[in-house]
Amino acid sequence: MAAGFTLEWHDKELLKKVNIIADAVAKKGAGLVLKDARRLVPVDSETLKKEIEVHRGKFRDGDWVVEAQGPGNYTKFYAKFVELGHYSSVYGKYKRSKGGGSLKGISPIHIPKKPYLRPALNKNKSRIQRMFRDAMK
Amino acid sequence: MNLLFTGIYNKLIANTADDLYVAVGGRFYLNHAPQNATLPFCIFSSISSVHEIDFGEEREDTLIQFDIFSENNSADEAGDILGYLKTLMDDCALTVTGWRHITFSRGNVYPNNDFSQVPPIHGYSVEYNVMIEKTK
Repeated sequence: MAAGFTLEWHDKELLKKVNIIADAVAKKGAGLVLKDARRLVPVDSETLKKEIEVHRGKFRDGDWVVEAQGPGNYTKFYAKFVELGHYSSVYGKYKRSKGGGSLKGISPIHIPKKPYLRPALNKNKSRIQRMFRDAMK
Repeated sequence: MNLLFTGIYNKLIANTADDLYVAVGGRFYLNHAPQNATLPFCIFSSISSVHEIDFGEEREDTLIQFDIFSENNSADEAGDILGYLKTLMDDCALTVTGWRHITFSRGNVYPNNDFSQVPPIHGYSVEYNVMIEKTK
């Protein structure tokens, strides 16, 4: 007679628990990145600083996104230009003509980057990994 | 950091017949291109550097950004230069005095265009993750 042996594997229940823990840690980690990004961002009018925010990602399983993009078109491009740097004549004292016409006669220059999102993420990467490891113990 | 930049610069200029060198005319700049610099050119700079000490091993995990800018009605030139950069730098072997090179791996590539210029500026920003370890 074979010995009875039953293994019950409640994977859905376990995954649900893991997801809850992971989500909480991810949210906390995103908060750390947000804090450092706001500290690192160059501040002129504070517009960009105010528009760095954390929100839930679009994936069904959930993730958290630190984003420097407010509702307006201003930060949509500005945030990227500051983070990556760019090559343009639309800078500082140089203004476009009223009709939004050409920029002839103005020599474009390279505007160096002032990264704030990627250094914030890099600084906290190891810490967030440790947070996940500790939470799963 | 200067040693790492020197290592990268030496890699870029090592072979003047290299496609990348020829395409940008040897115009490689650290951090910032001078005003009125002739296009196309390539800029490299550090985004961030994390210092790690693990059981006596000292490592630097640095994120390097390469920017390519080209002034052209076609996007081909910038695209070609991007390809040459990838060919030369992806997983390359770097010589950094006093450090042992571990990895040089490509990360994100971002388009960095400005179509308000005439002719338009086509550009790319490319990230590389560089890991080096102090030689004992």
